[in-house]
Amino acid sequence: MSVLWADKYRPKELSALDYHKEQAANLKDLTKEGDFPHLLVYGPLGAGKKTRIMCLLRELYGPGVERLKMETMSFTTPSNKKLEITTVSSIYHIEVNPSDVGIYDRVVIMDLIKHVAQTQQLNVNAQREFKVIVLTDVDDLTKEAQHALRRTMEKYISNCRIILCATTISRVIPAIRSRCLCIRVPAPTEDTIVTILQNVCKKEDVNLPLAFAKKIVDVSNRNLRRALLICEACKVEQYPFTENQQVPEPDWQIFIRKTAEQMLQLPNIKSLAKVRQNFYELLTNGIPSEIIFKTLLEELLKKCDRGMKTKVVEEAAIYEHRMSQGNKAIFHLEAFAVKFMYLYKNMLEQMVEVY
Amino acid sequence: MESNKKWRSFDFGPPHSNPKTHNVSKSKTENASPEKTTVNQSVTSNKLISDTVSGISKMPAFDFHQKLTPKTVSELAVHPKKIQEVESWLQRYVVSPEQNMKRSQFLVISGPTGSGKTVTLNVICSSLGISVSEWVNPIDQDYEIKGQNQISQFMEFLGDSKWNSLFDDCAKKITLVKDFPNAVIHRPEQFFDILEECSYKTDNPIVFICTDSNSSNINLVRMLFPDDIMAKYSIAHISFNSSASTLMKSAIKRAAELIKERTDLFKQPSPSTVDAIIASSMGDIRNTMNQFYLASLKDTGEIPTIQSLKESKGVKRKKVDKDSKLKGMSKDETLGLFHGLGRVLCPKREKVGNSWRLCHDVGKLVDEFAIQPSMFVSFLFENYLNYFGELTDVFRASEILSICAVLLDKWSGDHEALIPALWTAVLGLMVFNEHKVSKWNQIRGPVKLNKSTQRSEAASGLCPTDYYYYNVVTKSSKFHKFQFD
Repeated sequence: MSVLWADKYRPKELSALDYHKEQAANLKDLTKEGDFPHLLVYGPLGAGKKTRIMCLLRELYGPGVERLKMETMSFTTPSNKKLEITTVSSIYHIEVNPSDVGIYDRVVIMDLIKHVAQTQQLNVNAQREFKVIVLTDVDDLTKEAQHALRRTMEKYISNCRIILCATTISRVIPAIRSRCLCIRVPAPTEDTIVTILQNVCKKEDVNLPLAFAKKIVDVSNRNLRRALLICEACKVEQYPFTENQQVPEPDWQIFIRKTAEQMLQLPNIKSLAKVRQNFYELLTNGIPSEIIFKTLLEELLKKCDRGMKTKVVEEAAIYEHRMSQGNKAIFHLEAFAVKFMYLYKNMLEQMVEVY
Repeated sequence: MESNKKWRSFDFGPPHSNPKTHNVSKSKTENASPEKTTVNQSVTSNKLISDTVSGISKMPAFDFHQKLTPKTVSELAVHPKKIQEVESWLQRYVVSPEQNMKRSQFLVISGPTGSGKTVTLNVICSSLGISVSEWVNPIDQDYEIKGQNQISQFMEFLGDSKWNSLFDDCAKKITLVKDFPNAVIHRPEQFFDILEECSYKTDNPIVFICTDSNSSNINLVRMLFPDDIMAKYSIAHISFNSSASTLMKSAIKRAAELIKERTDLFKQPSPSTVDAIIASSMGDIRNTMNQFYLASLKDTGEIPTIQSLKESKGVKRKKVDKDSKLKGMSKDETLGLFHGLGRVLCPKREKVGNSWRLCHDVGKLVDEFAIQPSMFVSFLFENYLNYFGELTDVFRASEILSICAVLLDKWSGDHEALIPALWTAVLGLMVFNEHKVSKWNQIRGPVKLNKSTQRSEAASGLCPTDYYYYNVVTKSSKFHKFQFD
């Protein structure tokens, strides 16, 4: 099977990066001494966080870090529950997403770091005396796990470095933020994405009209990886590209739009039950709760008049804030949905009274 | 110190008039409580029983409880599976320990009060020829001032228990701890130290019996045997359930047989009274027997019972008439999860003047589920929609649940702080349900959000929001497709 364009044309060295060149130079300087502090890399989806981390590791260890293998590690919780988690590792580093195991993430973090840190590098030819642990989606970790991480970070600093990767640092506890060097990777500008798309297409021998590239960038929401994926998906659907070709929308976005439509059509308890089921379906399939919330709000606002809009946005802000603080997203999503239905129903009733 | 010595000398001293009671060392204090007496009785030999049986005609006194205490395994009002569990543990670790290289020397038996934990252990031990020595908190000395403190005495007792008594003909023995030293309850760490010491000092099996309790600060099992301790010393755990009504029925039948002999003292209680006794005892066999004893005394009239107005309509439900309950002396009821959910989701109200109030005591309801607040709240969240009739009510209730979720998340480390959160949810749901829908609804468990971790080599760098494009590009349906119907 062919490799996705997004993976195929991923820059492998800091010097080969397409944008944020100044930051790349800084990162290069950082590793000059052969050592670096714990890092916390954050930024929106598809901005190139992971790419930069891998480039950094390559800078440190050489091409050996690119020889990756997938492994399933198993852990046992104190209550004797078996956990399995997929890790991606080279001989120099290991990459895990601890929030895959939900509330047991604390166990994974503690055991994994201990495991990695306690095995000293035996190989004399090893270039560094520490290993690197890359933890992704750190903002999804539970509070307990974050506190555990804080303690283990200090304890094993001598023979391991931790690189954390998150979309937002507002949910990362301050204790961790202060122990890391925070690096923000902003999303690339639209023009940059257009240039990158054109470069990739040239290498693939595909003709990409400028207008169509702009259309893709509009849908991609300044997410470079998504832009590349959309471009590839369009090519699969219809090639050569035409000016007025449809750019496919992700199915979950349509799913949320339909859910919003149902809420507007029948604001009652029965449709609420259906709405909840839809939320569950979205969440179990990994769509982040903030994105569900945001998309839903945007869809709902389309049908509101001006007076209603401010009210809805105000309420949304309250529930979104609550949601970002805890890990029970469904409670707040539903509470917002009910609140909206309640407001909307009242508005409809008032309108009926006026006429 | 002195009295302590005296107890010791009891073991080594001249044979007692009752040759078997030395099994239970420190039996002096035993007689203090009636339950301890049963401990004694179950280990006593057949000779002693025949003594009392022959003595009936002479003595007008009739020791109902002594006679009733089960002597054989078949007489126990405990589920056969549980009996078997206890027996197999004893078989494996006490009777033939040589076959087991890795020894588990601790056993914890837990269960609600009156579920037959102690009696089961004693009956099985006597049938297997194992002697039981039990720790009893010393009460008759000022250990604070002179001599050892309670903890070191406890330790000494556990250490000494590996020596067989001189008058004991059976080589197998276990130590029973039911009466935990008070100091241990305040400082569980001390208890962990004791366990540590025991684990290498003696290899004599020790059985701990803990009574379950609803309130979290005196829950011995959770406090003294947390998960990591259980795992560290590989402690076996057998948890008893409260007696089933069928088992209690047969126990009452047996009791009825026993009292037949003494028509001068007893009468047979009416079947309806028996049913009421069983219904109101909430699975406590000891309580049942006490009520039965009272009901069968000759001079007492019918025990007043409460008949609920609602007669059971269905044919199916007539099996156990749970509607009639004893008026006095009934235990506090313990609610099951489903019962508790029902109370919260379908709140009953009574009119008081122009206002109304809730029929059930909310505080009690909250206490009942105080051990796992977030579990109970998830259950409420999952099911509350079905019981609400108006969108306005739902809006208020969901707001409450949302606040509750915030509280639960914020204070997840501090158990005590979670109780107000549970209060918020329970009270909110009960008060705001103005237009309740009473119909049969299936209770659903909380949905577990297991993120499907279908990562693979090719898609390792992808975010779930981009899976759709992956499906399109590779023309596969590797990832979930959202379809609205």
